[in-house]
Amino acid sequence: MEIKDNYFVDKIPKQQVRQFWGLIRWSLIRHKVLLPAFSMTQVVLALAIVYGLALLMPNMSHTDILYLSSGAITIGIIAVGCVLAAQIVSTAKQDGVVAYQKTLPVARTKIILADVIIWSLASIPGVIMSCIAATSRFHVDLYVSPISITVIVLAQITMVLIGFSLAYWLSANAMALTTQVIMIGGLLFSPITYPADRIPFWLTSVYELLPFVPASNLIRATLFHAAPFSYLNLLVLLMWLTTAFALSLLALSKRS
Amino acid sequence: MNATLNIYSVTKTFNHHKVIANDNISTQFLPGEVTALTGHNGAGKSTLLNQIMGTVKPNRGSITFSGHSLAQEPAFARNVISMMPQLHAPIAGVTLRQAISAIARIRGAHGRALRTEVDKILDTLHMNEWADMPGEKLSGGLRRLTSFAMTVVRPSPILLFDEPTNDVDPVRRKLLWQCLRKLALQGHIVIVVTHNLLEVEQYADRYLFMHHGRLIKDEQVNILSHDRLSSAVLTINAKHAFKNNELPQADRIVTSDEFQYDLFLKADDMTDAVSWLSAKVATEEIRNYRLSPASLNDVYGGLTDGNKR
Repeated sequence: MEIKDNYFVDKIPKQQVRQFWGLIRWSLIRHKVLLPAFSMTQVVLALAIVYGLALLMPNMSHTDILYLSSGAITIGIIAVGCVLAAQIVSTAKQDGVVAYQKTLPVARTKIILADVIIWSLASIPGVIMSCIAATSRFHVDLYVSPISITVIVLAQITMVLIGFSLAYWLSANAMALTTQVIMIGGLLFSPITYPADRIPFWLTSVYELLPFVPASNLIRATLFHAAPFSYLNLLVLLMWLTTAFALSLLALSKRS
Repeated sequence: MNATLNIYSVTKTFNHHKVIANDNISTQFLPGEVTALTGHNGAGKSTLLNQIMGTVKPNRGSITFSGHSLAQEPAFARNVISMMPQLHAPIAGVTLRQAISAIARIRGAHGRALRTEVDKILDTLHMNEWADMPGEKLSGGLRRLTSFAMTVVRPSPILLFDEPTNDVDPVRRKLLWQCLRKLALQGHIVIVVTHNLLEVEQYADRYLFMHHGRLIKDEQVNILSHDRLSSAVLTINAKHAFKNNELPQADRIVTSDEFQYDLFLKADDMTDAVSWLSAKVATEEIRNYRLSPASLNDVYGGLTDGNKR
């Protein structure tokens, strides 16, 4: 058999694009049943936060409203990235999908990128529903701009990559436990749905180093204009994004 | 360029060198040849495949193809190798056709050529009837065939198969092996892990036999067939016990049940054994007997003494 030249050189850009599109399509059709279910889950979650949590606070200030509205978006993004994506990738790992993907003639970065695109798209219904719920319930103003969209996309990518890292590196049980802790911490205790000055300073400092509160702060600053834009928050988010990407890449490139 | 796959002194250990999966393996795989990799469970066959694929890194030794090290250049390995895993390929949630098309697309096929290639492999394996059925509804054998089709659609120069015929019905097993033969004739290197020795004898050109991580046989299948025909097994059920010195000369005697004896005979022993048998049948000391060529399983067992260390 003649060994074709393209086995030895990088594939031409057109082939690369086709191959990447092939990966995305494959991922899409594999998850086609799950994605609508996830969209519904996010819709319910958004309504639960905006309408349900508001019931616990009868006299809400404007600040409370902004925290709850921005918090609904952030928690939806965390739920998709760190919980749903993590669980699906963990199941894929157990079913041998990840091992099979490792044998395909594609760059590991493309495998990660294709899944990031799918899961980021999957969290869009939640973001939209949170925005609709917030504006209809609280009549808040939204400032949709390139910067607010960029921040939301950045938050989505970071959370999805964290979810991938958890799924790739942890056992199924450890991953399930971690995602529950993230979700309970994010939903109940972290200053995402309420101002940070209500918790001890030391705890605020810890939350500032984790990606969840900075993501929430950035969304509140850009989409609601309710706080100054913090470059430190952006830096923390980017550091988590980079670390989670590196961990995912390492997991897919790892050879036993 | 007709490239061979060279494996030189490959050693792989696990669990801090406590488990030796591959022990100093050296061999060569040629284009145009269907090579069967056989051996007991845990003999190190899949580990060897995974090292060729580049997903497992050898502790020592080299695996080269066309001037490239597959062990050190996993990206190159992925471009020149297609592998059918021991587990089913992921097809839950997708139809058989979608699964095969997805892999063909990832391997660079598109448009009409992609459809033609997918239809061709569906025809070859007689799978059109199930082409649009979701993967989770397929039987184990059809899933295995789908996994096979995903490996051979738009085939790479090196094709690795880990137990491809498990669960597959006899008719399609034949089709599958014919497909492998065709690929070999097109110049692909075809390596198949299998426990089915009858299929090895029927369809493979060469077989490698691994035992406890070591390669203990590497020869053409026709030599194996010759070995088989130059030996025989005489199984007798006697009415009373025989001492070993009362039995005819044999290479090996196995007492498998009370008064049942398996005598592994070489060509030179057969005449004496048949005479002895005739005499014992005449004196009604033997209830029944069977004389047959040594099965591949006997050859296999003889090489390894079961799977004991």
